[in-house]
Amino acid sequence: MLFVACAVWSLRATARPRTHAALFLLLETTCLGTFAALDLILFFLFFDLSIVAMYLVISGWGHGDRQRSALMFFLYTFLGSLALLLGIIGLFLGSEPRTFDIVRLAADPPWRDDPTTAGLVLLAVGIGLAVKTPTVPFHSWLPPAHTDAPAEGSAVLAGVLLKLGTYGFVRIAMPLLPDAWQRWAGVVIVVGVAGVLWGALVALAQTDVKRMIAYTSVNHMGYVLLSLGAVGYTTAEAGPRAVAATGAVTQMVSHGLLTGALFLLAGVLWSRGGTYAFDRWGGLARPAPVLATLLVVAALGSLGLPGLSGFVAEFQVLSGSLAAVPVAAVVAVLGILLTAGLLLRALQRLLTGDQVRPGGVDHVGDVTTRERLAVAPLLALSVLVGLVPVVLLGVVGPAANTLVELTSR
Amino acid sequence: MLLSVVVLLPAVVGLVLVAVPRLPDAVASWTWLATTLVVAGLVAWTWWGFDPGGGVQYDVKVPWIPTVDASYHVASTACPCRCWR
Amino acid sequence: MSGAPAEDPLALLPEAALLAGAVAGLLLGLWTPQSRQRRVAVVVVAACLLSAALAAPGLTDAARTVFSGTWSVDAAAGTVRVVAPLATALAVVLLRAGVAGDARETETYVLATFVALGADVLAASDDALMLVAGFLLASVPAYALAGTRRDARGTEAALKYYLLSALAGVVLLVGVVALVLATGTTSWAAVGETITTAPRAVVALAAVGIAGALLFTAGAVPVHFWVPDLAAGTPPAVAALLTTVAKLGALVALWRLVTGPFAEVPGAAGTAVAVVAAASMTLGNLAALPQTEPRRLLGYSTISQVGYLLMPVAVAGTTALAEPALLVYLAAYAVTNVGAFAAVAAVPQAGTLQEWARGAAARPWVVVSLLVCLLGLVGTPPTAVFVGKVAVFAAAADGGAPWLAVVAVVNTLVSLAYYLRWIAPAVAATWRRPPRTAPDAAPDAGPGVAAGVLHACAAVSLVLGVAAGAAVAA
Repeated sequence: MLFVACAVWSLRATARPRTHAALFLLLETTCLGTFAALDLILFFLFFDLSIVAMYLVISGWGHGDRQRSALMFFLYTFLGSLALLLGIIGLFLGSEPRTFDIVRLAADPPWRDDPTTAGLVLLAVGIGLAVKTPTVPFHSWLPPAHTDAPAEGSAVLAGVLLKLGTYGFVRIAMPLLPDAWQRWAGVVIVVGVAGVLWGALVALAQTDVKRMIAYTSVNHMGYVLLSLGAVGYTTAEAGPRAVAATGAVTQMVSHGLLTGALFLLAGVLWSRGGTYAFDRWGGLARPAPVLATLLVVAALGSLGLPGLSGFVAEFQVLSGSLAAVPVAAVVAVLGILLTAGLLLRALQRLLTGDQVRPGGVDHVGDVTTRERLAVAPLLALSVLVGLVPVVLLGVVGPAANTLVELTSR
Repeated sequence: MLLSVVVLLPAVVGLVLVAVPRLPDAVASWTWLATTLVVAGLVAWTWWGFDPGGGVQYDVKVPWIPTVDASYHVASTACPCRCWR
Repeated sequence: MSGAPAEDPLALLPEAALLAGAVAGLLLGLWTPQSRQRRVAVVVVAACLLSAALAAPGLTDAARTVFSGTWSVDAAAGTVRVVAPLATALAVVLLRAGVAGDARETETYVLATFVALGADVLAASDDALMLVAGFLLASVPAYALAGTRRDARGTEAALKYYLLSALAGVVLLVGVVALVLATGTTSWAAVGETITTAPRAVVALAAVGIAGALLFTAGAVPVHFWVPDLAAGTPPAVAALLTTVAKLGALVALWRLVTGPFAEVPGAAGTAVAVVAAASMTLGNLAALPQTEPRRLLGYSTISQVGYLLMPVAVAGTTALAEPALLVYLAAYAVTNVGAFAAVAAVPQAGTLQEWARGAAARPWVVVSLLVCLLGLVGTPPTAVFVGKVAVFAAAADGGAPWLAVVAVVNTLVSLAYYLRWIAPAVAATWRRPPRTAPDAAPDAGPGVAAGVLHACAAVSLVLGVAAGAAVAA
């Protein structure tokens, strides 16, 4: 869906549209391929190619210090993918008989009787995926990449590419290394909570809308990690852990929809005035009511208002982890409070008060049809999941149960 | 088969877009939109036909490097279905 | 040559084709006017292709030795016998653009063919004296090739290469003599049987001598000093030839050494090679980082690539994954490296990376192919080197040297930095300049041909990456 939204978004004039379109289509293939792959090498292939494609998008159509941000993105995430490759090779070498096939590896997890090696392999895989997710402390590539990427690039980056990381955890790290995951679940939980808090705190301090949204991404991914870690706590019952797993997946979906929408809306700001800074915009509710509405919906969803998908996700994450690791869950609630605060404040600064516009912009046009068509479906889906979660949970529930089973071996 | 189409269709269309010379810009943009809509539709279709309790479906496995058992193995499971939305 | 058990002239058919091609080319060239010497290039390329074609069926045959056990016909030799002539053919095509009309044109093509022949001999030799012959065949023609450019840098390159090569040759002979002294025979098979009872010091001397010379041909630390100057001082085609073809033979010869005669020697054969591998990787990468000249950068990059290539050699005795890893990486590296040098040739006036970016800005497909080749050298999927790197890392981790795999991964990341320093300005320049939608006439044929070779190499690299299964199964 996100890719459709980006396609609609870019129907307006873009430089070099052929290459732009082609690159996004390539990105789409790499993402779809990563999600569908059931072979480690195939997974890695698509994983790596998505980095190349995103690099080209940022360097070619971004703004600001785009070459440098694109390079940093490439180098940092490539480092992560190399660590992942080491982990994949470790998995391959530990399997009996030697295979790269995920299904076979899940049926007979490698390195069962060698906890040290299993731990090291999990470390390699973990670091690789952690850079992509991104988790604290490997997240420093995200804000510059987002700030300097074009709007549709950011939307795809946040909405889909980050999911590649968390999906990797669910597909590779947990089923294939169950004991190691159980043993190190505590670390995962700490990292998740750190992400929640750090993301929210730093987002509070931002003066730039896009950077703020970027840090909320770090915050949201922290929730995912928290619940995935909770799944590994086999001392708790299976029921809440399945809820946590479902929460993780729901959060992945919800974050994609909502943050994607937020980035596209931030792109509206850029196209109108060429700046993302908070103090250059203000009081937009009056001249651009539709924009304001969309922004409010997206932001509220992001902080977890009931009725939108974010609430469903965070509720599941928290209730699931509460049973397993109560302390961490309570700390994570703090994160929700912080996020609520910062998003509401952002809304206030952007939408209410006196009209403030960057110099040289005398009329802030409301969202065009194209932009509306792009953003609205994303938000609509989020509302749908929020109000009728069974649509999503019916599919995800059994899978979450399977995940819990696989990880508990 | 369907899955491979879903995964690879965008890349193929993308390649065609850059390879064909002198393509008007509007055509490129609309082709892109059309492709993403088609893919989204196909994904929705696979989702419709997906049986949640059935585990792995739409399985395609083509051996690639037999000596190390690396293969082109794609399938549909619940998690990626959701991630595709 | 009579009555010896395994004597099979047909086994040497690919080499005979190369030799015939070289001789025919030379004779033809002597009687051809200066302006029509293209036909010599045609003959040489045809001979190379024929040689590769003749060697291809032998890849899947069972391993055997011919001519009294001095020549080995197996997968490793077969791979070199296919890849080396093909790489030479590509280099000759590239060369044609650079030396057309030169007074020494014919000789250059013929010398290139001899280097390929030398690589074949090096790879297949199962005997110390055959190895010496191969070494000389691979390096002596290179003396003249290194001096193709008759300017100051070319002379410096040629002189450095000649001196180091002469030293390496002497060291090789000393090593061979020591081996004969220690074991009384030159055949690898026989040496393997008697080496454990030979005096250790002499064996060590032999190992160092022979391996040292082979490392020189491969361009590895600590005898790598000729590589950057050669890469910078010769036309890109010659640099491609000398950093690719001879290396293939040398690496397979080293592999044979480690798995054959020196396999039983207790102690640090594998570790020594591993240390050399790590040193090559690291030094090559670190030295490449500050480079601003594309050719020198590629020169240092080939030094680091030798490091990766030496990894399977280091663990050759301890894991079955090593041999296919080495062969796959060799083939992948050859294609990608020639492609990278072709990229340099495609923008001939560029002295620095920035100039290259400016020169290539109007030709986006050249930049795309460069992207494929350079990312290929790093090992991004789905290029051929990616498969090679996965295989090599797996072999190292499995063979008891996981530290080597980690070092290699770190080095791969470092290498990305300098490849990106080439890619990034090129990509940025392409975005700035609107690509022409009409096909533009190449200003002169040279860069056009080079671009063609570049695209071909990029494409083959991708195809090989996908088709690696067939290659590995073979």
